[in-house]
Amino acid sequence: MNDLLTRLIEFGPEGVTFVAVVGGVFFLLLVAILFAVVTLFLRYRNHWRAKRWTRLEQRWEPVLNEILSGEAIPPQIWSMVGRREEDFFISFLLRYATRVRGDERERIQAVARPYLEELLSKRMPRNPAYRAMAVQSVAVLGLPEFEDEVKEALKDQAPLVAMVAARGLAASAGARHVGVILRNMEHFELWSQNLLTNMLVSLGPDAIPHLREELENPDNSPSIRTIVANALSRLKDIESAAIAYTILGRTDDRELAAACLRLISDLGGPEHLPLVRKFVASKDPVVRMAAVGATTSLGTASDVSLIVDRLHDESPWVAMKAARGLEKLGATAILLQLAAGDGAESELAREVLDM
Amino acid sequence: MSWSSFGPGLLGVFNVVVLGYFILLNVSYFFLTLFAFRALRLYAIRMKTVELRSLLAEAGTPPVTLFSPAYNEELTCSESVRSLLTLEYPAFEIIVINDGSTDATMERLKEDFDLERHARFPSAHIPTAEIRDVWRSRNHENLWVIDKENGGKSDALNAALNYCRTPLFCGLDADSILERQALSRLVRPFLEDGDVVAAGGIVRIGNGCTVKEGAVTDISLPRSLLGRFQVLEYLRAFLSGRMGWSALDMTLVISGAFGMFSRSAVVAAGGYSTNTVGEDMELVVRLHEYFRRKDERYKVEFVPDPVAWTEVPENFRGLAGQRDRWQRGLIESLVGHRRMLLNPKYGRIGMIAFPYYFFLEMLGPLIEAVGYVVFFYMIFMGIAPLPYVLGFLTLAVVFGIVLSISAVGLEELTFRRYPRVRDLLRLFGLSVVENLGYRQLQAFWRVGGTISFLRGVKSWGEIGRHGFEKEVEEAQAERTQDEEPLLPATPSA
Repeated sequence: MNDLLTRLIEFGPEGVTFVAVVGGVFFLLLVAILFAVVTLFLRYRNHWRAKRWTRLEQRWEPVLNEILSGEAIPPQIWSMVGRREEDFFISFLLRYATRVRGDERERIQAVARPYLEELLSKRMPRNPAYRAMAVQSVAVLGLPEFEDEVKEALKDQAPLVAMVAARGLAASAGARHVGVILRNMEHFELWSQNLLTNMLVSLGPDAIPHLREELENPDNSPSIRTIVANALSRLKDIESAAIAYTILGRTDDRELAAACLRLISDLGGPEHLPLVRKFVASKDPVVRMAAVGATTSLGTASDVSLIVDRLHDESPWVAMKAARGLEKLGATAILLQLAAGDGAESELAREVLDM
Repeated sequence: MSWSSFGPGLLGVFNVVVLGYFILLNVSYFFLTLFAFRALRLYAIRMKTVELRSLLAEAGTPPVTLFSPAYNEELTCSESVRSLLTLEYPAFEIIVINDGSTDATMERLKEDFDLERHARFPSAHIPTAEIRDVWRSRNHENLWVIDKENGGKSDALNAALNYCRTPLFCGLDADSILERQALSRLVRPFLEDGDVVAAGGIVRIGNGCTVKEGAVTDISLPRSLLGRFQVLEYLRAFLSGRMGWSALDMTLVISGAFGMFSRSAVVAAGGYSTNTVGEDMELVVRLHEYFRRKDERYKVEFVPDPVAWTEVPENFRGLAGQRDRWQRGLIESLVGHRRMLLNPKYGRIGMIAFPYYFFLEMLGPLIEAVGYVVFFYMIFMGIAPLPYVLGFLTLAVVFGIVLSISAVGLEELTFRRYPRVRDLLRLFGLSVVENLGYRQLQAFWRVGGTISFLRGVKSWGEIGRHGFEKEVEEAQAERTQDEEPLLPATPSA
């Protein structure tokens, strides 16, 4: 080594640079060859793996089916799972578990149970994608035993992990978890509102009393109350219309106001109309649109002139809602008159009348 | 090394700049590849965690509108639309925009899809060339055609935007073939994060693939060397480049061939710019600027698994024209938003991504092309010792080979679209061969693009589309024999 260094120094700086460049070229060539070899290795490894997993599934599947039909017990399949096959075995069980319910799901859960503790301890400290996978496995295969762990995952910093935990709880024990899901919704509220609403709807009618409480609770954020209002609307809970009416008179959040108006539109009554009509003139187009929808759902012929004004709304969405609303209110003659003319409202009327 | 080895005075300074450029570019790409590697691995795990079908079932698929601008596409327009109609997505509309075609594009569409005039109230009012009529198909209620005066691709897209009713829209190229599940996969980021305003998918090269009934059935490398070089280039650009930038939350480009956007976000930002041929990149840069200026939360994502197959030019003239146009589009987008350059107000976009594109992608070809000339001049004049020059050139070339092979490796790690081992080996070989002329040609074409920009050239040039071979043969077979052959597609000047 000393000799080498001495010889390098004798070359001078230009020589050293040249040696470094040549060394760099050879090093990168080796890296290129290594990458190429690794890529080819990946190709064959993936091919070999796919074959191996297929063989394993072909061995496990008949035994699992026997366990599901009560003709075999879990230890018979456990003995067929090698040490390095556990993760794949869990994925295999997960695929089955998501397709079945009741006794069959419970039997699959019994098969998975010994593997879940280690799965959690292995994957939870890792990055969100791995944590989410672990939580999903446990939520489908390990409830109610691992309920605490899944609830803990609701507070995870990564929205993906929290969302997976919420979906798992919602799918398993229904209304019982609505409170804890909603209390932690801020961790995953960026997910699609429709998804979150449908998740709450999937809790079923048993969740309605809890959802009403959460809608009434002013400590909940407007976005959570919006999602809850949407869910109650889809669950057709008539009693929540009164709650929505009360909120409407107090809130200045546009999304919450619009959600309450939509709920009243679906489930409200004529007694709600006077307040609803006031929102037709709201400065916010989202609120105006929902108010137009609610007025045309609950209103009468006397509301036609109020809605006609909205045909000229600066927001095309409000104008479209108003035009469709006029059709609902039976004001087809007005639409026909408009359709015969020129201008933007005429085009709108013709579209509504399917011309 | 002494500075004298680089040459006297200015020449020496220039050579240092070239050296610095090569090091910076390759090291940047190397780090992007590392980030992409990690991101792709985690993406694969994430995909298993939230299964797409159940996600869509629970979230309800948001309706999407597909924008398909068409100019003189009579040869392929109907097949392209049929391909879109077969997409596996529960709720979508298609808006084809006939941008003042001078051939029989509109007649083909009327005939093949039984169009009737139908009223449609616009949802936005972005200025466009005059709309002649709006048509709807009697057979496919979700298919609309806007017939308008010619205004260029951006103008056509804005016209579609004005009539778009869905929360999301997808901009497509006329010759793109989407995989059946592409929309479902591309919509995922919008379901997982309400802040997402744009998401781009991956564009792959369809030349050489077999297309049946609007779907790519057999994947193979193109027959021509030029086509194959572009496969490698696209793998690097998308799997290493775009995935790497997305991992860093700094996506600055979404391909116009396949990108999904929030309708309200794009309308709020003013729609597509009609002042550039790079309207796809310009839109994304403007979205960044718009949301950062308003200090509102937003995200732009790249999603590696939804695929659009596209046709690439396989002749020098076509490819040169395309690269000229891309360079012009790049310059127009960056120069038009130059206030973002190194501006901390625009966060990591302004301080990292924008400077990368500005100095390395935009100015880089100039440095590279002149660098080749200067190096050979220096050797010829005996200013620089040949071993040094060759050594540095070889270093740059081998680094490029490493990056190309790692892109092939990323492909193998994740999607493995090329099933034949011989195609894999060919891609390795191409990683070496592309440095013996193809990459240098790219640099000179892009210099040409820079000159075109400085000269104020605005045209798209000839695209010379042939359509995916099998589709075109079937289309021609359906036409009557006494119809005259068509002129090649030539977009507006």
